[in-house]
Amino acid sequence: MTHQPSTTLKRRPSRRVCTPPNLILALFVAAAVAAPVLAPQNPYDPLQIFGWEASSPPGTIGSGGYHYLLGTDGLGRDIASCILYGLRISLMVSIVSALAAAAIGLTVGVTAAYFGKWVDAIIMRVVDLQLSLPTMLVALIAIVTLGPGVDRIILALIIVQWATYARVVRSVALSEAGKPYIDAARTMPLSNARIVLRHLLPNSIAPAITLLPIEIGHAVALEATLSFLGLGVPMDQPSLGSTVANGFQYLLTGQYWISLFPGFALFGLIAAINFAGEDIRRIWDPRNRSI
Amino acid sequence: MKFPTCLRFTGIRTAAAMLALFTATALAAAAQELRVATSYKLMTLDPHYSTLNENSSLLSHIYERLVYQDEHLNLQPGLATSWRRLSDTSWEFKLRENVRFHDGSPFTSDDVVYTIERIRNFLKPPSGGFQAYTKGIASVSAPDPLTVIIDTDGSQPTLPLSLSAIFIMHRDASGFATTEALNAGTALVGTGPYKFKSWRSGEILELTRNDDYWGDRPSWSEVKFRIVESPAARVAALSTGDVDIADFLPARDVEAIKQRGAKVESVPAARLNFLQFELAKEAAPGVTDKSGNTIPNPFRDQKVRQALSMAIDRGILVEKILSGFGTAAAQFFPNGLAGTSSNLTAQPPRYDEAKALLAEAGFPDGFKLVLNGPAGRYPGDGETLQAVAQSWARIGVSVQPVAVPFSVFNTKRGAGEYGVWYGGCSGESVDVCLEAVLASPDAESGAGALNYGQYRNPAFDEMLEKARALDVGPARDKALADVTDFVMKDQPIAPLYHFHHIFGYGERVGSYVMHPRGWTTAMQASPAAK
Repeated sequence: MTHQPSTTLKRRPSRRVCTPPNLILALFVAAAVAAPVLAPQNPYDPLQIFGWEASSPPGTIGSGGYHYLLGTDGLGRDIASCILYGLRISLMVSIVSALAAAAIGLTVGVTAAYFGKWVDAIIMRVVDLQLSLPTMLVALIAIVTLGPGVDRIILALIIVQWATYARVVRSVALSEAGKPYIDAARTMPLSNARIVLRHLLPNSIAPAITLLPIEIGHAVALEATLSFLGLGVPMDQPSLGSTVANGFQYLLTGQYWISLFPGFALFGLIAAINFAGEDIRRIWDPRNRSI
Repeated sequence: MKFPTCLRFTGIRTAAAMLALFTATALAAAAQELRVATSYKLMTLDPHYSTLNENSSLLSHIYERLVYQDEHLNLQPGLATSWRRLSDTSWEFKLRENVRFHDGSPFTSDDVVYTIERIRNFLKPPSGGFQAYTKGIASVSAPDPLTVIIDTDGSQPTLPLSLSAIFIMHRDASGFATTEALNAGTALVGTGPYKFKSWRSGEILELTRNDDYWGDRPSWSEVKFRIVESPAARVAALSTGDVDIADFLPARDVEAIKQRGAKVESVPAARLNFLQFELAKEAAPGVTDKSGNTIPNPFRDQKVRQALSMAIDRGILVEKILSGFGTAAAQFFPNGLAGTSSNLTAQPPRYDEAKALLAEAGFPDGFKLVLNGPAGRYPGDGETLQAVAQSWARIGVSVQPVAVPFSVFNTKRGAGEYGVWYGGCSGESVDVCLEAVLASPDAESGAGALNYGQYRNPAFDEMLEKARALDVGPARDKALADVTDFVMKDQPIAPLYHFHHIFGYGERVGSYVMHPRGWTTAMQASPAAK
């Protein structure tokens, strides 16, 4: 095979930031941040909900002056507002949990690689054990043990996700740990913690960053699933998953809007995160770096 | 019809005719099979094991009672044709003639004696539930095969009502039948319109027609109950024609079921779902002021209870959450049933008045509370908590609704971990609920079994006792209505709704007569006319 540097340079993938998925994702994030301004109704405030307007079809104008653009659910909550507020919960829960899980996974993975021997063996067997359990099962057990609540969901998602990061980071850290600069560091009077955190970790971080957006997408889906099963957020704080679940029982009755629109929002959000994640991976990939 | 000569006198013609007749009968038999999807999870074949509807509904095909309760909860003759009081402490029951058990032996007064003895002396916990019905009985005797004399400790005016719960078993020469033997399907004989065929605990019950039944010929030759616990699965089974009857359907599915050609019947249930308050503790769990500081139990103030009940929009509960298949409630049973008060009807919410009452009670800014309830136990339970939260927010009471599985709820409620919660009560007559939910708790007499909030009102206890001492009839009903009027002024509970029992049936069933106690039986279903 002949080497053709010129064409390789030309074919280098785009590193543009303003791709359509990124813009759509930015729109979702902006909508979530601005939910209190954008949403006609605060679905967490019982005073703003009118029970008699429950199950109104899309387009109804309610007595409180609300325009129910996407209709209301079985308790009179505006679906559009539920989606906006639900986005907040979904994004907050998934980003916080993914970052925390990444931090834990990084530290654990790097530690295992650096110390090797029995430390590595023990840590990696724990990781293997957890990865061999179905994610949903681990999350369910965690929620059932910890109890319901937004903070508990975050904790459950961290428990579910850290092992993936640990596994990926360790493999990179293993090859980094054998490199001369680490050997050099070891000869200096530096503490292990310093070598691991200041030298090994920054050089092993790339795969974790590639993994991050994908795992955020997973976390959104997992949170929605837990909420759908009624194990997630409190019942008076609708999230995307629990709104879909609320509407699920009305699907046969023709009140399609309760489930359908939050379902679309969930689909759009996860798709945008996954596509944007691909862009982020391209941007971070060292092989794509300009000379 | 012209037959070849060779067949005319040989008897083969007769055989052919018989064969044709036989085939026709077989086809008709298939057409007379009734398939039911029921939520009643039959766990035993012992008719005296537990008083739960789960058992008594399905076992009423096999076994019968001396006295029946009709759709208005009035008493009707069953295996007893008449009954009267001989004295204050003695009752005489005249039994029906020419009744036979499924094994062919005649039904006599001795079987009644045996049944009551079995409940009182033979069954041990956990199967002691029926002893509540035989508690006041001192002795039972059978002076002749069709007469039973029951002597009671003190006056027992509701003895016929108690007996309307008890299934009559046949005295077996080998002694008392054990629950295990009955569950194994042996000695399973009653006098009922259907005979036992087969059973798998919690799954299936198959019955065949009792051709020797004393009453009208039972309509169905075969009856097959499939126990389907998920409401959605019952809806699906009915919609696809897998079953002819499905019981306890969700209100929101009614339109879809009708669109698919099934018919739907409903009746307000002889039961109440309500909010109950913790009244004994100095501080009610989960109740704080708006900034989260513990406050003295506000529910001990009658005005607070009245304000909270007044501020519930029951219209939303029955129209929106129960899709119209509910009746807003102000007392234990729906208006019109025996023992209900015509003075008590549910009112629209009066927020201003309620707010003023709260201010009078010393809570002008309201307070915070956790409203607990089961999820998926009763129609509309979880949604009701949230709708009540919306209502109470309008008088300054902020509510955190929490719904958990019934088993968890029941444990925590029993342990006194709740301040205010969603509960339910049903019974064969209104005084059962009055006593269970509102009478001062007393472990010995069993009063106040559902009085988890520890409501104590001696004046009410006394009135109820007097009313319950009256004979079943209009005077007793009036007294019970007065007791209800009296106690509801104190608002010990906030009544919510009587949900409706909703049953659906397919084209092979012509009609289904609903019963407010929610029975599911083949006797209530008539075949469609061809």
